[in-house]
Formats: sequence, structure tokens, C-alpha cells
Amino acid sequence: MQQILLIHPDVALRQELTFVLRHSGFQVAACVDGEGAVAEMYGSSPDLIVMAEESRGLNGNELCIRLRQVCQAPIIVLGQDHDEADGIGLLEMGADAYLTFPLNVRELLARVRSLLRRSGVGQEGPFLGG
Amino acid sequence: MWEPGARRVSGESDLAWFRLSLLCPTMKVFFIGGSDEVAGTISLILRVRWPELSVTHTANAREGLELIHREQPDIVMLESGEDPASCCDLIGQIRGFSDVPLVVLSRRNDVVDKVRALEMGADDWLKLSSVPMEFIAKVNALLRRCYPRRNDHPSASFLSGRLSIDYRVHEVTVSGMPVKLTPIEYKILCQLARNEGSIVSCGDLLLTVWGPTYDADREFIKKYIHRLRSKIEEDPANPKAIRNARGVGYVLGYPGAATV
Repeated sequence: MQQILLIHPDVALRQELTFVLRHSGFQVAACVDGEGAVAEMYGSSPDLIVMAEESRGLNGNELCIRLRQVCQAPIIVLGQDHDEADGIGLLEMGADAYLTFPLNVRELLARVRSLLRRSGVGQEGPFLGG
Repeated sequence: MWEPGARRVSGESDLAWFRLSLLCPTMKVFFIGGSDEVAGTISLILRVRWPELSVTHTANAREGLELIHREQPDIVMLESGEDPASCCDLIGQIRGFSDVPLVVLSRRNDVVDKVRALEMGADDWLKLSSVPMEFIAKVNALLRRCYPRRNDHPSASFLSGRLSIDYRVHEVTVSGMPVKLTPIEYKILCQLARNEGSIVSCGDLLLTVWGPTYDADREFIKKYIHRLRSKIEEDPANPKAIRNARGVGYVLGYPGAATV
């Protein structure tokens, strides 16, 4: 089962997204803030990360950089604004997608599946037979 | 060499210092649907970051499919016009034979269309009204994800029994001796290698090797498999590497060979 690390300071949204992702067939580990997420990364290796643009401890850009130092899993950022252009900096820092506010759960799930499909392709390695 | 109706918009720059740090500096972009004006604008925007990029534009979907198959672009952009369903059909057809990074461009921001396109196999959805820097950042994020080690594929190889393929230089060896294959024979072998141990149907081979628009019968594949066996098998009359799956297709893999 594919594992998703969810980082969001909002308790209600974190619980709702955890519920939706679990019911969509993913394992979910949820964290409140960036520091907790980076600590979590050393204990597990998620297949994808969904993070809030702003969380306690580290801002979005810093968190993206820290996460990229320890893993190459796709990162989806949940923005606080209506304007997609606000996500430019985060995309440059290593995020793969930036979703604007208000969040559409169907779009989030479609993005999660699309990125997991794509990251699987990119990880194709050599194999030896015989 | 370009099909009638296909138009190439190319650009060059001497910003060599800038190119070094970029992903896919000479990337090939195919833009399907939309107008020449939009193709020109995309080319202008992307050339800020990829100075040597080329944009090939065709408004014809069938021609676009042929071009993707033949030219193997680095990224494909589809414009979703008034009929989003036809765009989704086209995404499905492309995904039938190619994993190329695929972005849908649209003047609208309809969530239902966006979700459908992503579920059909698109990698991203961009509004045509996006600011140029957002457009560039999204394309760059996609390329980074799709080509993580673009210039560094140290172990892109296949080994099974006596057969080995080095994908980086398109070199095939049998028991260490290089074997000269035609481009079609190489494509067939790679497709079988990608599915080592599994049956690859004649239909799949036709689609992935000759493309979606090629209409040939299965005898055609038989002829190529025969030639391929004559080059890589120890005893072509008693093939061990490429075996028949009677009535279905072919399987690559030496009997008893274990995949490590």
C-alpha cells in the first residue's frame, strides 16, 4: 500500500484529509508541523507528501528544501491563496504541485494518483536475470 | 521531413552558462491543438528557461499521435478546446503507447475537466492565462520529476542470460559480442525486455513499435521476430530467449532464468 505523509497544522482538515486518503486506499502518517515531518522522514519513507503552505516551525519553502534533502517523493503543497502564481517559489524549491485554496478533494486525489504513477516510472532501475 | 501542416518554431541563444544548470536544454516540445499564435507564445515563454528548445505544432490529433511516436518529444502539450472529451480521448490514446510527460492547456479552469484529464493520464493542467513564470515553474517541476537523472543513467541496462542491452548507447550484446540490430528490431527487443517473463501480444508490439496509426498484420511481426532470433539466439530454430506464446505473442526470458 502506498504511504502518504500529510503535514498540516489545521486539526480538522488534517483529520478530514486523513480520512479521505485512507478511504482511497493509501496509508497515511499525519504530522502537525515541519519539524515533526522531517523527524518522521527518518523513520519512514513515504511515497508522496502532502503539505500545507504554512505550518508551525518551518515555512513552506524551508520545509520543501529540508524534505528534498532527505527524500525524492513527490510533494503536493496545499496553498492558502486563490492564485496559483503564489506557488511558483515552492515549485522551484522542489514541490511538484501547488493546489489553491479552497481545496478540492477530487483534484487532490487525481494529483496524488497522477504523481504516484509518474514517480513510479522515474524510479525504473536496472535488473538482472539468469 | 515534417508532415504537411506541422510547423516548427525554433529558437537559439548563446546563454551557454545558463543552459548548464538546466534540465533538458534542447528539449523538444510538441503542441497539439490550438492555434499557431498560442504555439508561438509557448515557445517564447519556455525559451526564457530553455533557450534551445523547439516547439512543433500541429492542430491535427492524428498527425500529433504519429509525431509523438516517431519523434519522441520530451514533453507534449495538448490544448483542451471547446470539447474536453476529445482531449481526454487523445490523452488515452497517447498513454496507450507512450509515457511522455503530458500537460493539458486550457482557457478554462473547470475542476471536472481537470480531474478527468489527470485521471486519463495527464501530468498537469495549465491555464493559458497563467503568468509566464508559473508556466515555466510547472513545466520545470514536471521535467524534474520525469527525468530525475536525465544526464546520468549509469545503470540503464538489461541483462538476461547471454543477452544484455545498454539503453544509453542502444547496444545489444550476446555472450559479450555486439549484435547489430535495425532500429525496428531494437525497439521490438526493448519492448520484450521491459516485460521480461511476461507475454507481449502482437497487438502491443504493433502499437509500441510501429505506432497507433500503422495498420499491419501479425505476419509482419513474425518476419521481424525471425530476423531478431537469427541475430540473438544460439539456435534460431530452437529459440531460448524469445519464445512463442502460441496465438498471443512472445515472451523474452531464458527458461529457468531468475530475475535478481
